[in-house]
Amino acid sequence: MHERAALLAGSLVKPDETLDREFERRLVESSTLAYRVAFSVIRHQHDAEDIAQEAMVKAYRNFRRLRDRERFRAWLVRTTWRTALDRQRANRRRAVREVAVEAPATAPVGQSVARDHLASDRSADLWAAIDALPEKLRVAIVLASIEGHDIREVATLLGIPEGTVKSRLFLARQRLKEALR
Amino acid sequence: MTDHDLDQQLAAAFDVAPSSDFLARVRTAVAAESAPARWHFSWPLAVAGSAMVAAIGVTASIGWLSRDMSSSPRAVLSVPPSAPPAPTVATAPAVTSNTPMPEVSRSRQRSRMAVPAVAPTASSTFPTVIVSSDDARGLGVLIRAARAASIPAVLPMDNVSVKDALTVPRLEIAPVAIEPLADLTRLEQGDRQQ
Repeated sequence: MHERAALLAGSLVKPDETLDREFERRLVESSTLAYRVAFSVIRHQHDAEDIAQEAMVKAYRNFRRLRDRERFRAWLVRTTWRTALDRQRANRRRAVREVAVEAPATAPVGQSVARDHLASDRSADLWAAIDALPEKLRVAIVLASIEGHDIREVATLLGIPEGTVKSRLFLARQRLKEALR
Repeated sequence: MTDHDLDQQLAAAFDVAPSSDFLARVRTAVAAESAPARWHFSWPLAVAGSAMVAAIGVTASIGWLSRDMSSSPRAVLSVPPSAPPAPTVATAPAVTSNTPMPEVSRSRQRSRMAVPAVAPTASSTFPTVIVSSDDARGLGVLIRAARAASIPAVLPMDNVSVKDALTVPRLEIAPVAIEPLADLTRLEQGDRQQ
C-alpha cells in the first residue's frame, strides 16, 4: 500500500533536482562576495565567515524565489550587510560589558581583531575612514571596491538608480580622501 | 591623495578571501537545513486536487439541499427538544373533522373570545396566547383541507353555505318614464313658424 502511494506521489509530484545544482553554482560564485561584504563591516575573519554562512543558509531557504542570478546576489548582499551590522552591534555591546567587568585597561576586542588583518597603519586609517562614512555611502563604496563592480552592478545590487550610485560614490571618495590627507 | 591612490588602497583593503574550508562548511550547513520546498508545482496534482475538491463540494451541496428540502415542512411544526415550552394556545371547543361546521360556530355566539383552556404553568416562559374561536375554526378547516389535499378557494362562513355566499342578490330597479319638456317643444315649433 505504501509502495503504491509512493508511486502515485512520484508520478504526480517530482522533486526539483535542478534546484540544488543551481544553488551550488550560486554558492561558488557568490560566497566570496558575501564574505567580503561581511568582512567590510565586522573586520574579523571568523565572524565574517559565520555571517556569510548564515546569509547563504538563509538564501538556500528562500532559493525558490531567488533563482535569478542578479536577484540572488542583491538579496545576498543586503542580507549579509544587515546580519553583519547586527553582529557588529552585538560585539560592541559585549565588548563594553566585558571591558567594564573584567579589565578596563585592555584594548577593545574590535581593535585587537582588526590588528590581525590590517597590516599597516595606513590600512587602519582607511578602515577608520570607511567606518566613519554614513551607511549609504559606506555600502556604495564597499560594493564598488569589491570584485570590480561597476556603477551599474552596484545599482543593481542596491536596487537604486545609477545616478544615485554615482553621487554616493563621489561623496564617499571625497570624504575618504579628506580623511586620509 | 589622488583617486588612483585611493583606488589602490581600497582594492588592497578588500582583497580578502575566506579560509579554504569556508565553502565546505557552508555546504555542510546547507545540507543540514531541511530542503526548501523540494516539491515543485505539478499540473497533474493540481488538476486532481481541484477535481477532488469540486466533487466533494458538489456532493456536500446536493446532500445539504436534499436534507433541507425534506426537513423544511417539519421544521415549521416541530419544536426542538431544548427549546422552552411552546406558548399555550387557548381555543374554543376543539374542532374535529367529524363535527359539522355550523355546530362548531354556535360556541362563537356565546363568547367571542375564548377562555384559556390550559392554565399557564410555572415552567412556561411564554405568555398564554388567546385566539378567537373564529380564527381557530378557520385554522382547523385549513389544516384539514391541507391534509386532504383539497384547499377550498373560499372558506365557508357561519350558517351560510358556499352557494349562498357566492350568490349576489338581485337588484330591484323601478322603470323610469322619460317625458319631453313642454317649453322646449314650443320653442321648436316657433322656430319652424319663423
